[in-house]
Amino acid sequence: MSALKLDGESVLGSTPLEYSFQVEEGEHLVVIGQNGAGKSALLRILAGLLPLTKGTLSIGKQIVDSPVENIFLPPHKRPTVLQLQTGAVFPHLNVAKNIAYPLRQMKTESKKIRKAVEETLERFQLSEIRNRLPHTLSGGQLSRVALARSIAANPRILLLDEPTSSIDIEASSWIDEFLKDLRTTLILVSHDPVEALVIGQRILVVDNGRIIQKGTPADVSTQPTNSWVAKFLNLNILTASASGFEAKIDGGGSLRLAEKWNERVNISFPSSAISLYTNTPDGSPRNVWEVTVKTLHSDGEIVRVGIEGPFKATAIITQESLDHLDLRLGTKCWAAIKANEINVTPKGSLG
Amino acid sequence: MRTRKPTLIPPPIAIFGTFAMLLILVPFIGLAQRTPWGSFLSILGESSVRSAISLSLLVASVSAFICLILGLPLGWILARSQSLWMRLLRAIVLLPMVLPPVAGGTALLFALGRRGFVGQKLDEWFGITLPFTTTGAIIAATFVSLPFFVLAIETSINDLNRDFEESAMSLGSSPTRTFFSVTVPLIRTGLIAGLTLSWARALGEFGATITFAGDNPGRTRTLPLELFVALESDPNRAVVIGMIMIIISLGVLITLRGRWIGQK
Repeated sequence: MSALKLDGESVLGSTPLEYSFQVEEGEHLVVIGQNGAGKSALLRILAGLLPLTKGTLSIGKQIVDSPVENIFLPPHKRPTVLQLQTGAVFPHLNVAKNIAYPLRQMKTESKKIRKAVEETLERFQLSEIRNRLPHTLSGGQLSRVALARSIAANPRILLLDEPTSSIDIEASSWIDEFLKDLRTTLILVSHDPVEALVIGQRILVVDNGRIIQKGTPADVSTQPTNSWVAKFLNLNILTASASGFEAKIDGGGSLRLAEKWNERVNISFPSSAISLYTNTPDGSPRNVWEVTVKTLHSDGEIVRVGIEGPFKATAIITQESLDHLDLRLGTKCWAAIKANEINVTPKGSLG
Repeated sequence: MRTRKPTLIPPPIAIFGTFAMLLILVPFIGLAQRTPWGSFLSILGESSVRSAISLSLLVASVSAFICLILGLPLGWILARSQSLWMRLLRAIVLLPMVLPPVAGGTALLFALGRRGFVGQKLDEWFGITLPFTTTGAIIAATFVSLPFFVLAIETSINDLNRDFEESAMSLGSSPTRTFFSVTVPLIRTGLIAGLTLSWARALGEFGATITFAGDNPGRTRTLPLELFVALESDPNRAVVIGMIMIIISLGVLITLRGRWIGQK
């Protein structure tokens, strides 16, 4: 049974909205789309901050919004927690009290609340700043407090609206790692392709108040429904263990980096940075590996080539070079990328 | 060598600005130079003056408290309601702010006075008469000061980012709990300002009080009424009472200096 199922319409301002999708228990769904596409409005509908005008929303077995049946469960009674883009950490409460806030709304004994707050502070590395007021915190700390508070509420479905926007890369990669390992059903609106591909088990593309594409990250990035999606997801993402200039990719293969790293890292590079050759390319010492063509998707001018070697990747080449290389499904060829095209971020460590 | 500061105030602005300042300042100087400082304490010690002071403080404080209890919900409703009716209602609610207090007092008299359409029933059914009682004075003071409080609350709530309340509700807090645990703490600056403003307005209330509650020593004769009465019999007492009121009001302004004087 699905954790959440929405098939309904609403209106935000004068923009009509129409969504139909479902999420499985424990699934991580990432919602992407341009500004004003209706991503936040979708989360607001789920959380009960924007009522449906038509259709049905159910969470588990329970119908929580259905205008026809005159059912509307208000936000505080829903098993969802919506974390807004601003985080909305209460400015009049210190870190520990912010985290305790959702627990106080339940009928929990104060002893248990204290214990839960203690554990959450520990888990989010906030113990040292537990008594600080929000205005004294950095953006990265604030976003961790906001997430800690949402998690403390122990929602059945967690709704996050760009939880890592406008914070530095270390703080955001910590949060992304945390979310990736989270078992809770998660619906995440993201503006960050790395985040979308790392966390999303499924991706929902929203445009003009509608869902225009649903699918796995691989599906969506190899067959993007429009040029915006294609540009947004023009990325390959790998995790690796780096030592010196060499990064050993999880699952096999290795890439040479432009800088020295000695830790677990996320590696990303644009699909368009990969070059394909039918013979071993010679010349400058570049990253070269042997691959097999697994998928081919053309939109007339550019072709997205799904390649598989020691690891999977997507390359974007022109139709012209595809013809020139004479690539078909199953063709064996060589892929190459310059070390300085590879973007490296440490994996979820907070200094 | 002294560094010369460039002139920042253009001459016409300086001239008219100075006149405006004098217009407010001169009467205070007039009162201060006329004050019989030698007998200040003895007049302050008179039982009628002391009772007027304590009555004024009582009326103003109770009235401010009523403003808090009733004006907080009203301010919230006015800020959050979108309906056309509410906008009309809002204008009526704010009316006592611009209405001459005498007119407000007259309106109160014909509603809550002994022969007023509500007052008559209060008298018949419960034996309650409001004119010439301290309760009447409190009602008159609340009538004129409530709009100040409501306006302060409405402005604060309008300025409040709704994200905080929406997040609180999504975190499981009911609308009522959200109001007390998030909304009220976040508007406390505006709330305190509104409270002080309505308290000060109630303290100085004269017109509505004398029209509705009348002049009853010990019950409705607050400082402004005491001052008015003294002006006819003993100007020295009037001056001292005026000075007392200036000192109290100045104290209030200084407490709120962050809002209305200096401190940028």
